[in-house]
Order: sequence, then structure tokens, then C-alpha cells
Amino acid sequence: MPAATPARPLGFGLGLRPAHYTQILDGKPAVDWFEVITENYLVGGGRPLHFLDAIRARYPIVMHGVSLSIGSTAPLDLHYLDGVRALAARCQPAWISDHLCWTGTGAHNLHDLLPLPYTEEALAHVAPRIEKVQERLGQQLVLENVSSYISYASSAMTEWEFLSELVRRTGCDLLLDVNNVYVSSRNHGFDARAFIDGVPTRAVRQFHLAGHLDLGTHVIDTHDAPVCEAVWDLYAYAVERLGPVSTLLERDDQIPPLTELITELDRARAISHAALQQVAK
Amino acid sequence: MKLTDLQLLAQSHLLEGGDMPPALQDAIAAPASERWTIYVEAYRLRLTAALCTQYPTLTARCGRAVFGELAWRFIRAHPSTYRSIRDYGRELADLAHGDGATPELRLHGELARFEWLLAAAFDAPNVTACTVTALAELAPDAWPTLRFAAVPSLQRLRTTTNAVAVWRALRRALEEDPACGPLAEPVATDIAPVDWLIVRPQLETEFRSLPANEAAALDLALAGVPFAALCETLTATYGDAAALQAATWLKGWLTEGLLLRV
Ligand SMILES: [Fe+2]
Repeated sequence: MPAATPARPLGFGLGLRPAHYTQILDGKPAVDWFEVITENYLVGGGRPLHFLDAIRARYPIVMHGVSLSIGSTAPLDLHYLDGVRALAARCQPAWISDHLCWTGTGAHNLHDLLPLPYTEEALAHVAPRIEKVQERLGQQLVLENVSSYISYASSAMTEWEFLSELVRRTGCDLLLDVNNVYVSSRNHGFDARAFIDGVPTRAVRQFHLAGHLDLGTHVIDTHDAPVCEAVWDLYAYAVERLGPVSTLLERDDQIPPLTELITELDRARAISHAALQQVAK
Repeated sequence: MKLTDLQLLAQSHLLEGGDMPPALQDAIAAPASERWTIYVEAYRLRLTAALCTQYPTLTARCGRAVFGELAWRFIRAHPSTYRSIRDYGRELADLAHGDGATPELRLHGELARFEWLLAAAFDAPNVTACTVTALAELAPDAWPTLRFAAVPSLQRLRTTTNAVAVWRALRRALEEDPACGPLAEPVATDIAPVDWLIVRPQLETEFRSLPANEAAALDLALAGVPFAALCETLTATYGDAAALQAATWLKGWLTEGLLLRV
């Protein structure tokens, strides 16, 4: 699929959560865009689609899926893809993203984002699937790096080499989750900055920021806490290297009041602004 | 190991738990292989949390620990095959009911069934239901063959315990304290079975009990029985007043937004 014209950065957004629906519509908060979990809106009707339509009328939206299972050795779920395409026709997202992972095989869904071995075999398996998905959706797919706790003995390249090669073979774009880079770098002992240096600059369409649980010996991606200082530093580094990429703050558990998330989002704005000024000097 | 085999092996360990198979241990790079348990635990926790969300009052009734055991038995028996975790857990009511040997088990089954049906109504497809006005314009000779179907959000349920009263009490308690439970609202089973109607006309889900006669007539109408045949059936109970009774119910059902014309 030929690369689309690069989308303009959307600014600073939040993950859309039902607890905030009415506040968003009543208060018109200073959030530039919202990211929605695709699967939560693959429903017939009622409140989810009602609020999605109403919020979409006021804000740009990005669709972020968790069940594509692009790395699975089970066949692609075409029924699911058609649902995603229909939802995209309804809410006209700026783009559609999911994760570089597998979530189950056979008919199963483990509802988790499991890492792939970084091998030529996996590349040869995943790349044609990305192409099929892009064809079916009629647009570029944006793929996110996941947090991982294990790596495979068979891996023959780094995660960023694997991602870069997928971009080269398929023309897909990347969602760089800065927190996931940090979490995986701690768990696997690689240099987080090398990851950011290693991905193709022009392919990075979006950043994710989120909190995690630091257990000392290892780190677990929990999305239930504010972004930590080390991840803010890494974010500044990513902006310096990759530019004003659309930035999204994720919170999936222990969801605080909207105002608290907006304050945290303002910090992302300030860090991004400072990093870009640093580059300009 | 081929990617296909690796995924099958990893998945079967996540689904079944137990000791880590040696082949999987070999596939995962040292020294982090013990971190595989993060995935094993996350699988159980994530699906249990999804079931708690789907069944908040059953969770409160049982208490989190007991519900957690029920959930894990369910997860082992019914691995998810859904893209959306929201669709997971339909069969939990059967497991919660078990052999129905005690009133409490019957209550659990009915609470779960009620919560599942409320959720089904919540995000069912939007439709424009047939209205009283639309039928007022109908030619007289079209009435005998007039047929209906249920709007997609419509759900029916029969309870043999005070499950809905317990549900109301638990909802109130959960609003005050989301972490509450286990809550012991008395269970009553010495009550006549009650038919329930759940529907979502616009955005809000509504429910009410149905008198037995009305429930029987509504179920016929929802099954697509033509209006004339419905009146005919009602003659056994209502005699000459059958058509009037059918028209009265029909007007009510249309006002509630229950029916689609077919
Ligand atoms: Fe993320």
C-alpha cells in the first residue's frame, strides 16, 4: 500500500474513558484529541456509540485496537476487520492503530499483548498480514511496541530492528509507546535511547505515555499511575529526535478526575515545547 | 521451534496454568523465564476483572474472594473467543446456578442472568420502533395479518427468587461503596415466578415485571404470531373482550418501544 500523505500532528490527547463522557461534552476541556479503544465501540448502539459520535463532532479521534493479533499464526479475523472498517467509516479516525504482538491462536483470545520472537520467520509471517490488513481497511496501519517481560531464545535481532524492517516491508507507521520502551528496556537490559535512535524517524506517527509498577528487579506496565520521571526524560529525548509527534496520555485503571489528567497532559506539552526549543537552538 | 508451535505451547500454558512445560522454558531466554508468571497471573486477573465488571452485584453478593474462585472455574471452562472482552462471560449464570440445590445458588444464577441481559440491552443496536401513530394509519384489512418482532434491546427473564429486589439493594450499596460486599440481603424463594421485561428505548435501560397473562401474550407477539391469531388465542381467557384486551396491550407495548413491524 502506498504511504498516505503524512498526517499533521494532532497535539496532545487523552484516552477516552466512559467516566469522563459527560464532563468532556459539558466542559469542552483543553484536550486536542481523544484515542478510543476500538473494541469498546464494536457494538450495535446505545450509550457507547452515542457518546463516540457526540465527542467526535468536537474532537479528532484515533482508533486504537487491542485484538488485531497481527502476530498470531491463526488466520486474520476478517469479520473483526470489517467491524473495524465500519467503525472507521462512522467516526473517521485520524488513523487506526493496534499492537505488534499476538493475543491468542486458534479461536482463542487471551486478552493480553504477547511479544513475538524477533526472527526472520516472524517478519516473513507478520509483514504480509500487515499488508492484508491495510488493504482490508483501505489505510495505513499504525503499530505500537508493547511492554514485555520475557524474550525468546530464538530472537535474532532487536525489537527496534524488527519494527524498522516491518516499516520498510509494509509501509506501516509506528506508535512509539515511550513507557513501553522504558519498561522493556528495564526488563531486558537494553538502552532505551538506542531503541528511539533505532526506529525510522518519519514512520513515528504517535507517542504513548503511561504509568507503570516498578518492582526493582523488573517493571510491569499497569497504566494505573502517573508517568514517572524516567519516562518523562525519555519522552523529552524522543521529541528531540522525532519532533512534534502526536502525544497521548493513557490511563486504564485507577482513573482519576479529568482535571488531573489534563494537568499531566500539560506537563507533556511543556516538556515537548522545551525539547523542541532545545533542538531549534 | 516454529512460531505456530511456540504460540500453541505458550497459549496452552496460559489457559491451563500448572508447571511450565520444559519446551516453553527452553524457548524463553534466561534469566527472565520466571517472569513468564507475570503473563500467567495477568491472564487470570484480567479475565476475572472483566467478569467482575460484567457481574457487579453477583460479585458483591458473593464477596470478591468467592467470586474470584467462581470466575477462575469459569475461565478454565470457557476460554474467551471474543475480540471484545465485553462479550465474555455469557455462560457464567449457569455455573453460578450450579445444581440449584440451595436458594442462594438459584439467586446467584438469576442475578447473573439479569445482569447479563441488562448489559445486552445497554449496547444493543439502535432501531426506530413501531409507534402507535404508525399503526393508526394502517388500513383495517391489514390488521389481521399484522406481525411484529422484538426490538434488538428487548430481553425477557423469569425469576423464581427475589433476585431483582436483591439486585436493587446491591446496586444501592455499590453506589455508596464500590468495594462493598459480601452483602446478605435475605433470599426469598417462596414466591410465585415473576416475568421481567428489559428494554432500552433510547439511551436508558428500563425494566418492569409483567403480569403472567401479558407475558404470555407478549411472547406470542414477539414470536411473530399475527394479530388475528393473537386475539383468537386470547378468546379462551377473555371471550368477547379478547380483541379489546389485545389492542390495549399492543398500545402499551408500542408506547414502550418494544416492537418492530415485520
Ligand atoms: Fe500504549
